[in-house]
Amino acid sequence: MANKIRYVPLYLWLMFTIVLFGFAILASFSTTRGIFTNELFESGLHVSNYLVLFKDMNMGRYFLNSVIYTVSACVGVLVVAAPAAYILGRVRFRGQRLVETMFLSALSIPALLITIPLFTMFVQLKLTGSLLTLVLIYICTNVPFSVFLLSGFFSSIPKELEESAAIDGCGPVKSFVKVMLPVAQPGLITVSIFNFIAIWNDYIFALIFANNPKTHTLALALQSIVQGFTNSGNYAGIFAASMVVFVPTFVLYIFISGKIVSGITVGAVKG
Amino acid sequence: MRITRSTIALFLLPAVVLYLCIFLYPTVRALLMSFFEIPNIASRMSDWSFIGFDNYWQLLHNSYFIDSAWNVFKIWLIGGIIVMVFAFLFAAILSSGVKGKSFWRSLVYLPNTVTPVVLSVVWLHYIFNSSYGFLTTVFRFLGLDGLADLQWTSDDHLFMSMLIAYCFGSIGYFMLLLNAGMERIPHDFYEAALLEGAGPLTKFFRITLPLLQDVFRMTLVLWTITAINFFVWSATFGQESPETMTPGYYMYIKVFGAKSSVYQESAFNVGAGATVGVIITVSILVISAIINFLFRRQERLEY
Repeated sequence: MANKIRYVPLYLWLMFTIVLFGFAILASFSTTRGIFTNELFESGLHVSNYLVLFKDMNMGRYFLNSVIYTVSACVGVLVVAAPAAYILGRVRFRGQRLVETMFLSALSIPALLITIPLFTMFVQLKLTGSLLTLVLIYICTNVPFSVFLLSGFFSSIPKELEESAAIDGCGPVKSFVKVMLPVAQPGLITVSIFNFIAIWNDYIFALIFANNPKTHTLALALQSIVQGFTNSGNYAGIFAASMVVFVPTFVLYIFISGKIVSGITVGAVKG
Repeated sequence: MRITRSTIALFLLPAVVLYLCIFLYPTVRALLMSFFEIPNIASRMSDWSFIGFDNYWQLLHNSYFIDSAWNVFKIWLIGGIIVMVFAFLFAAILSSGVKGKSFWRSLVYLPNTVTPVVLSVVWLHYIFNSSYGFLTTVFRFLGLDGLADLQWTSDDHLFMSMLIAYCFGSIGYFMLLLNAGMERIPHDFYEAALLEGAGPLTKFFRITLPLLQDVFRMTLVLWTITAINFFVWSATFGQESPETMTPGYYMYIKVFGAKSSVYQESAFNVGAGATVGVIITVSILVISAIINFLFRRQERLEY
């Protein structure tokens, strides 16, 4: 009996999640009239909600923007963070504690505290108004966490690997690129998944730094589309727009949820 | 293999320079700005005028800011209780040996991977909608007309509605942390307790809770950081209404926001915006220190 009760909260959560997102998906193929009369498919399936988004609301462009931001920032973070994490994870040197504390302390600095000076800095360097602005912001803000997580991965690689690379005549840079990076691949992938989700779903930095409509992210565009549609009463359109943002991450999540879940617990319990 | 100091420097340099430019310099500068009156965001330092603690004093006497601080306190306290209760419940269920554990764990975590913009839409326009919404339909079906007629998104209830939706999207992360902590507790303890005749509740309160102290402390600190920085939902769910205003979003509207907002009644001093950021940071540090202090007084358990 007590054994069965444990499953009650789980099934309730499951049912609620299915109803929540299931309704949104169904409603996105309906009409506003259908939603309000509780007869979603009274007049058949409507793909037009989606067509309007991509034709008239430029959703394709914002989708592309978000892909560009996310992919280039994820790669950029690895380029900066991996070498630093490699040194912190494997080499003992003077001042190491200081550098480690530095990256750790960055994790507790609220984004809101640094936005104003950062914005001023970007204005003075004339770095605002292009796609590059947010790419740089996303790289910079995700480096400390990535260094922290990756140094754990590097420190677990056996020492013999580098030694045999050195005997084969590899210098430090070559052995890092040719030997260490491939071995650390699972770590690099885990870190990139985290960065991907953080950047794809980011709202704060996009709101402040993407002040040119052409550079808006999908989340920003969604918010303004939702506001417009709420005013004009296009409820089916609101749900369709949300699903354009939700479905890609949901499909991705189905495939990689195991990695995310284990990654979070590794990073958190050690820290 | 010997790694020379120049190689170390070469590998570390990009990340360290980034840290100095993006974290250290802005933090110091924001702290400095909070003591100045600054006419606009692009002003050079020569245009700043020193005013001591005036920014702090004025914010503490600004009713918009005080209201927003109250909201964040309620989010921290009420939201914290809701999130921790559910996170504990799910973590305990998942570590009790249910079938299909990884599926359930991913399912409870799922809302955390959805952007707040989408979560706000489905909650605002489906769950809380007063004509075809989920809650209305369910309560009508149960014959609870009083609850069915409740206007979830009216000014009176907007804050509570937002808090419920926000908690739904946050439980998963804290569940994962607690669950990981619970699974690190050695099985022998529970077996020994079983031999002594302890029931599931006794085991939970006498073994799980005491041994989870450290993980729970860390979880509370992380919750504090998340809650005090509350920002996005004020924009996506509350849509700038005073009921859901928080200091973070208040700062955004004042410094970066649209000129048409009710909060833009007068020209805003950017230094005061930086002051809000400093107050947020200091509150997080103080609350975290209190949490650490409360948990440190008991003896540490090694296992």
